[in-house]
Amino acid sequence: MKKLKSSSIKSVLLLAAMACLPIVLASDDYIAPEEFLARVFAGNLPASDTVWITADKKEIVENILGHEPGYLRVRYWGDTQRSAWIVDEIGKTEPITIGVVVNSQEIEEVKVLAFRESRGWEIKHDFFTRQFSGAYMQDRQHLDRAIDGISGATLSVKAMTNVSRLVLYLAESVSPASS
Amino acid sequence: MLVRKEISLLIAVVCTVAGASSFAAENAPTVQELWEIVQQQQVELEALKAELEASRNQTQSIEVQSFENSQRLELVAEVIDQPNRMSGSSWADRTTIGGYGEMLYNDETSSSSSKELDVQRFVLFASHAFTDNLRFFSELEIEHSFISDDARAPGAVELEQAYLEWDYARNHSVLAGMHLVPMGIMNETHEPNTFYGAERNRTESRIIPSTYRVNGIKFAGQLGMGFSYDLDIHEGLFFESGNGSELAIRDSRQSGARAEMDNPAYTGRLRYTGIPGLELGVSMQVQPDMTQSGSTRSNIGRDGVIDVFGNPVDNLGGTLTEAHMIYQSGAWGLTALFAEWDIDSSIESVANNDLSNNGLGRDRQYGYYLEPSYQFNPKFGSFLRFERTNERAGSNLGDAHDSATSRTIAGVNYWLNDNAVLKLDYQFENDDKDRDLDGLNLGVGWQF
Repeated sequence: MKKLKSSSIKSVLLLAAMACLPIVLASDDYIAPEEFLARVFAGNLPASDTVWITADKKEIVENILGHEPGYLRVRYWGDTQRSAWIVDEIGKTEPITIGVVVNSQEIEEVKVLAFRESRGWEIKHDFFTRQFSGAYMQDRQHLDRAIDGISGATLSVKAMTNVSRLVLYLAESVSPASS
Repeated sequence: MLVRKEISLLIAVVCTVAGASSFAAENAPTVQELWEIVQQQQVELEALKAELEASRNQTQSIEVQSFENSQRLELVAEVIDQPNRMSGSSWADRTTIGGYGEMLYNDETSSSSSKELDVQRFVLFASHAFTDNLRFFSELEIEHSFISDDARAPGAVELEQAYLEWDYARNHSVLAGMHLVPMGIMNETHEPNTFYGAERNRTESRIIPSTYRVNGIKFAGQLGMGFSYDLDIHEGLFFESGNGSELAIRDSRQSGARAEMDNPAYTGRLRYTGIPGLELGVSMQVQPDMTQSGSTRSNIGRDGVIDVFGNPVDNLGGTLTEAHMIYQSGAWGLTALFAEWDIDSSIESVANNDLSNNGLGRDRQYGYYLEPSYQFNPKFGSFLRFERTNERAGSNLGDAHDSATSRTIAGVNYWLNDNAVLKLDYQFENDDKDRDLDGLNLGVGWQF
């Protein structure tokens, strides 16, 4: 009985210590869409426009994502030279909100704005997303480079890679060269 | 003569012109007629102006309608493309159904009853997000196809996970309920399409008893710089002497079924994933007393733990330590894991109900493996696994004599797509008693 009591007290103390962890530990953060856009455009938010997933684009978009897009168009801010895009894509079961900045048909930055999956949180950190910097699209909407994955988070990594390919494709479709 | 002809012609022309002028003068419209013509043209002009005005109005109307339609389309698209799915979304949007499973064929060439085809597991999961930071997750598993009251039926229906998870601070969460112990590689990530080999590795089946599920409370979070932690308070293992019990770690799992909580266990893990493709992890589990204070659980006829003299044994503590590494660079991959139990030596005196000793060498148990792999393309990859395990490493007497087993496995995975895989491998297995368990394994696995 005495042992049981002691064990219970220890458990409660350990629980309390665990609950306090976030207060004493620093944590990485991620940002709201408005903050992301404000930072990308240094406070001068340009006009936004949308690219409709029309019949001619639909098949390519489906090939990139591996499924139907689930939206009619994608919004972007900026111009044909430099633009920022925000896209939702399912990882394993939950949507991941990803911001992508394209400059001269190359990825300038990829940022996770909201991550809801229980595994694969690593993809929201700079040590992972910096792999995409400077990536551009090669034949058949593939990136010019291999992206190293995260153990146990294959689907989250794939979601981010596919969103990057999608945005590069859509950015190219609105560029003067394509019209 | 010629001059006379020309004069006659000239006179004829003059006469003709004069006649025509006289006719025109007689038929010219009067002023009245001209006025009527002007009036008629004025009416036609007014009609044309009216038509033009109507046309203009129609064009304006179409433009307005077009603008309104474009605005309506924009509004509809805004609703359909709602970027924040979690706010205002339906119950169905916030509920996810999925599953995974595998069918395996084993042909262990050195054993007489070796050929077996089995749906080893079929798992359905359901999750529901109440809000962005509060969710429920569950997994229900059928092992070996079916259960029945026939003792020969090997199947089981098991709750593998059922917990409520709350993100109580940014990047930090706590869950309560049945969950997977945060240790090793396979215990939490074991969908067939995520690992090489038809069968799971032995170390993470016998030393870390995957799938190792427990009732308890687990805290998890990210520390920054690629570090993350898990801290878990949960039901402990529960050894029983039983009748012919092996005292194996795997058989001591309570799996959340009326679990004894006299002596809860504690698990902690630290992981580093700060470099893409690399994972380093260490974990430790402390079991203060795996006899659960000598519980006999008389209410459901459990036996408790006794020694060779029939006396109850308690204070049987143990510690499981684990370390692993996963590295993937391009097509090449390398996975390595080591796990070891250090258990109080009193386990060596534990006996079966017939007082025969069965705890020899159980105070130390270990396993490790090294698995290089190469992926030729996104669909096809190959691997080698070198593994050694010993569940009675604490002694070399009796049953514990030469109790280690070594195996080398070579095989391939073929992914039909990201979520469906075919597997083939061949194992060369030898234990230290020179018994062979070589064999072929085939597998088909899926996840959705």
